[in-house]
Amino acid sequence: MLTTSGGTGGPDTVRRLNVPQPLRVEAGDDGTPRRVQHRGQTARPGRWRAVDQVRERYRVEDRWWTSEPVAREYFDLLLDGGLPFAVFRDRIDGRWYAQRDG
Amino acid sequence: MRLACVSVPRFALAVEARLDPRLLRAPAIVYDGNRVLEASPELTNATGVHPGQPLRQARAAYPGAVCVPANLLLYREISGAMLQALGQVGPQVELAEQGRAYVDVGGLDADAFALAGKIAAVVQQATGLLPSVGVAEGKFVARVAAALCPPGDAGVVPRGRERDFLRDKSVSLLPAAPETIEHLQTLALHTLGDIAGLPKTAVEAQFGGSGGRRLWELAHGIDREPLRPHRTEESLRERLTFEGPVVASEALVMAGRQLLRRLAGRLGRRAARTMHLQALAGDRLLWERLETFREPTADEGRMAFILTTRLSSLQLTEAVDTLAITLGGIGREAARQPKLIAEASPQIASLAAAIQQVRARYGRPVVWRAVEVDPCSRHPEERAVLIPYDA
Repeated sequence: MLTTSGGTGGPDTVRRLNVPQPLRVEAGDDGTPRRVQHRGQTARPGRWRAVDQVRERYRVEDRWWTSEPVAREYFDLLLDGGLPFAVFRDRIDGRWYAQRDG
Repeated sequence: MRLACVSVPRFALAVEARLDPRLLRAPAIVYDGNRVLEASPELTNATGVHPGQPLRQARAAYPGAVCVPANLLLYREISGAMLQALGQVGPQVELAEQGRAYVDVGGLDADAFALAGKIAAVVQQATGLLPSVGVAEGKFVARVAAALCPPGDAGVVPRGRERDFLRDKSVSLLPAAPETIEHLQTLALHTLGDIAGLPKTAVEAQFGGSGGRRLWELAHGIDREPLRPHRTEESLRERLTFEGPVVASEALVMAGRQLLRRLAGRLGRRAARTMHLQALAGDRLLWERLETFREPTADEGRMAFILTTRLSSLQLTEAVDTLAITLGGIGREAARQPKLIAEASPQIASLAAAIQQVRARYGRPVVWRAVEVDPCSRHPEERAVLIPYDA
């Protein structure tokens, strides 16, 4: 299960960088994203963009020995127009998140 | 190129059956997460359960199936042992996927069946698993020959007889997408001989230039895909056995740091790409973790930081008697970029003063700086945080 601080601490607190952002994804039968709702830097829902290419797909399994295991499947995508975009599906809660690997 | 394809059919299931013999007698499913990784052949034939299918669906299709979770680390370890064993047969070995490897047997002066027997024997000795072996020219023909043999048997295709051998074999053996196989079958092309009997241009017209050409060539037993030999990477390993069993993470951290000191001495001016931590009880692996550094490093402090983070959060259910660390991917250290402005320079001091004034004006921090906390974490959100600049 993914747990995040959401990046919203008090004004003097430490803020996490690159916190996964929930987003909507339409995936095919094989689990590969077909379209993502990309909102860029705005808070609005954003428009749906087609996935042109899945450049890489990999899994991260971690902390399976604890009560807070991490199980994610990352997709390194190229959206229409050539925009690089990374998403992952949390394999525990089944939700999709955007997150760059930086 | 004369190759031997060494294949353990339904590898995950075969490994699990070695640990739990129930799986040899009952329809079984090995699953990874919530998907089927492998299923017994009788289950696939009777109910259509297949790899990639949601586990829930597979269970509903055959509620009596024995379901076991996949142990991916174990599969990797056994594949490694298989690779190492095959290195005794020939120097050029490629691990195509877990449980399937190719060995270049071109220069080996031995009867093909005797060679295949030797290959099966070394793999069985190293892994406890009995493989099928196919010997032929090129990967595809060798793979088909292995796929048609039961474990422990060998299929040898004489040089020049590839097309005859493939003639009556099903198109489903082609390394192609399920849609392509379906497309072939809708065109009444059921055997590789059916494809080989067509002009190359006709197959290209249906399946595209390069795709069609490849199908036609494979049906003729022509496979130019080269062997990509596995490269043995240099690694350094140190292990420490405790005088008595240990559960406290502090003791593990101290032992780990001691091992790192030894390893750093052996590393010299070189750098490591990975750090593999293992906690054992006797020969039994209790816990392991492979850390891949973002760039090769020789920095003992950096390795120690990661080691401390991992070991101090470790919750062991059993006592450890041995800790082992292996540094892998040994090579040269990558170049490092020094800071443009030194920390103590006058520019930094005046910048800090300005930032303090702005903070005092607004009553809250407005300038932040990024600080790396765990730069090698596999989770991007754990690598760096923002803190107030003057904190």
